Amino acid sequence: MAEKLLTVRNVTRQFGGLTAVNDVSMTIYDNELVALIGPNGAGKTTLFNMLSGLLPATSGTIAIRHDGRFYKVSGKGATSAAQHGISRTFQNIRLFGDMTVWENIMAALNNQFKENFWSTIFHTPGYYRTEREMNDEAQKLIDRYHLTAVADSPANKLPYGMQRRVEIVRALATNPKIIFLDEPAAGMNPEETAELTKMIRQLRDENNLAVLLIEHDMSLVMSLAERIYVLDQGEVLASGTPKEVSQNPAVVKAYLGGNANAAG
Amino acid sequence: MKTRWQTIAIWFVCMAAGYGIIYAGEMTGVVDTFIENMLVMMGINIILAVSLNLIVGFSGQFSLGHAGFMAIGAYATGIMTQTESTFAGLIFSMITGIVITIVIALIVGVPTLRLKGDYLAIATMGAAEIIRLIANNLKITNGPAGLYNIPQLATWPLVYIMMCLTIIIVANFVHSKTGRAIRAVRNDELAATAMGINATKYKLMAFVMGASLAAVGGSLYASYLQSIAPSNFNIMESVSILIIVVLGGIGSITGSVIAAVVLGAIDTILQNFGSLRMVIYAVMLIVIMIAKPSGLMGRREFSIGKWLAKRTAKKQAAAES
Amino acid sequence: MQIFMQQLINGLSLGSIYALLALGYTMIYGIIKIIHFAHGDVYMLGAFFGYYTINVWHFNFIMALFGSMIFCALVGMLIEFVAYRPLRHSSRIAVLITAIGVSYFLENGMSVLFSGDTRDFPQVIKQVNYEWFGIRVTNIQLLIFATTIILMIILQLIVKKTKMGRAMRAAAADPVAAELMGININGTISFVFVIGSAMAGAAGVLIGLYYNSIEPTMGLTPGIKAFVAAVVGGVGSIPGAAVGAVIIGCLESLMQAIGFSAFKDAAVYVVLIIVLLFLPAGLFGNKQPEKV
Repeated sequence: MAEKLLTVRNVTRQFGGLTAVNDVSMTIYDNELVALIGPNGAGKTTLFNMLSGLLPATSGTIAIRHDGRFYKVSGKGATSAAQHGISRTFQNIRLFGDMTVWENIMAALNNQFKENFWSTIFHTPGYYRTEREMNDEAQKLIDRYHLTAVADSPANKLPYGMQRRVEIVRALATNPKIIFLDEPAAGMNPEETAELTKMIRQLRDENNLAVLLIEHDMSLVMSLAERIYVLDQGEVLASGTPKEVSQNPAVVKAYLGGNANAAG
Repeated sequence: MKTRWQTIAIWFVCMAAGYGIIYAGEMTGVVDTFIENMLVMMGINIILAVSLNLIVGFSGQFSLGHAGFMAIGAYATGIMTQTESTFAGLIFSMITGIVITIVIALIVGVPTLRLKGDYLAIATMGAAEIIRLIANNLKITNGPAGLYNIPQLATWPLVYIMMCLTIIIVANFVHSKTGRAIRAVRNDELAATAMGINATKYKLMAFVMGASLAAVGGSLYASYLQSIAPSNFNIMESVSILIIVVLGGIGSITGSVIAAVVLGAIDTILQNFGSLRMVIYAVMLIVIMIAKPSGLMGRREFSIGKWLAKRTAKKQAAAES
Repeated sequence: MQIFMQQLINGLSLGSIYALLALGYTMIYGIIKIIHFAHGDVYMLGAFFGYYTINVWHFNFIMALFGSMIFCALVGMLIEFVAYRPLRHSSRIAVLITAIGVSYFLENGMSVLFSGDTRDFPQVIKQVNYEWFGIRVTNIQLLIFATTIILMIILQLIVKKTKMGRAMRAAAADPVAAELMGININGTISFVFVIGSAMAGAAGVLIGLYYNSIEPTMGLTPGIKAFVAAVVGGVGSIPGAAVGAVIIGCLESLMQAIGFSAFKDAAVYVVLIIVLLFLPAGLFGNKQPEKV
């Protein structure tokens, strides 16, 4: 029986008079691949931002299981969320542009290694040891996800699809238990999307982590997701397996449109 | 492995050579007091510029308050070496200056580092002015008249060694896990925090480190020039250091070194032009900024390690063909 | 109480002058997001222009005022065109350094051409003191209030009622969208510099009358204080700049009155830091949240 990893209970977010997310509850289990879909403006990114600690919820609780205990996520900031096993990518790719791919990944490995002040400023053997260990980790990731050719390129010089891939690998480098992917396939053509689908599956299978993704590309969602939550106007409209959701009349009406069998 | 030792060896040789050249100059009289003065000021400016570059270039914090930290070091040395006029006294005063600077940099940094861009600039400028105005009004600092007849305990070798140390420390700091975290925060603070990097901690680290080195520069300034006054540490002084950093290239240590030397030389040459000097300097500044806003080196760095690696790679390619 | 009211009057006079400067800073920052470091020096040029036209061409106050405003408007436009426009897409620091270069150029240029000595501003209006309930107000102070208020009303009318004013507000809110809507961004920016610099010129003449002495570096400290005033009021907000300026002016007067003259400048910086920390958008500004 899979364990609960991320629990979301009655989460609401208000901006002044506008309620962006209304009483949403979700549970993500270990190693699951879950998708969050819904029309634009449904509150998906706002929900994501709350789940990853960037935005505090107006009410409700969000908790992540880390080292056996549950830790509060809401209102604790993104750094705390990251330190408790949450990582993410962004709708508008946010790489460290001036830095190379290798440096981007090394930066994400920051918290997993220690280095004291004197080793840093005088480059003692301790410094070299830490650098070597970090480099080994980074190289593993670079090789496994086929980034070897671009490892020394500045991140902002890469083509879009490659940048997306780097962003995902960087998120992976923080050794999370769950990764949030915010519209990873945005702006991609069918070949790139197919590659991305393969990568996400590889990611999940090889690293024992859960993936929660927001996506509009239904082919990707239906082929990857084990469960789907449908958000509309800030509320959970439906949830279930891809088959169940694609046949749900309310979902079809609000979002999928047309034939109930079209996406099934 | 081999490259590591080669790199260190080459750096050591370069620094020793620089030392040797100046030493020879001193011995033969080519380097007279005037030239020595210019060289020492260049050295101090390198310390100030490189440390500011750490804050502005690598950490992306637009600080216009560097002169304030310089003042702390200068006054610490100025005051303490008057009672303890030995070399040990100088070192002790420098350490005191650094400790006070760390405390003040934390006090200034914690609230202001969450401001962005221009707002951070004026906040740091305000903080430095407050420091200067305090110095202007305290008895122990002798108010607006400042301190004079400070014993000259700083010699050109000391300044040279401190300059080399500063470059080494800052370069090492930047090329480390901490340096990467700092640069990540500069590139995209939001993404960095999402990757678990504590932005405030790293911004503060860079700020405090840079401030401490500025204090060292200030201590050397006081001990070599022998007289200091609050007017030496005003906004214009912070701006002058910033100009060196920008002209050399924000984010390039090499650039800061080159710019400090070039500007120091130009400043000396322009001494003969009297009041026209600042006008020429101003026009030069405007023209250079419009022509190359990213500065001499941009973000590029001259790295012996990389140069050696390229050479080795070329040799290997040649051997294999 | 009397002393307090007296200092209030003095503070308002000083504040009015800072307001004229602060308005320029806030409008310019609002539209091109640059701290126009040389603005204080435009003010200085205004004072010197007044000085020369009154002494050499025997202008009266009104002619000197208008002349200075026109002269400074042209200078401001020129500065924007030569120094800021080429760097519109460069880093903020590069622009700042250029602005500083312009400031150095103006200050030292004036020193070279006309020597750095302090000069007495010609007393083209004879000072008359009025006593009201034991509070002394001079005719010059009344003139400063009147001029400032009139100029500010004109400014508000321009911003709220004219096409140019609308263009200014649009460009300040979203320059790209404004351009797409057909607004001539370059023209609008020039216009902002014209108005801002004209007001600085007026301030220069007024301060010459008020404090009687001018010198090439007179623009530095008032420039910084006026910028602080703009920040306190909320950068980009016109009423904010005025309110901020009055606050700063009164604070300065107060510090002088209670004997802390030496710290009056420091007090302004302390206020700046406090405002930035607790009210980062200033009194009337609005915070722009970052979009994720």
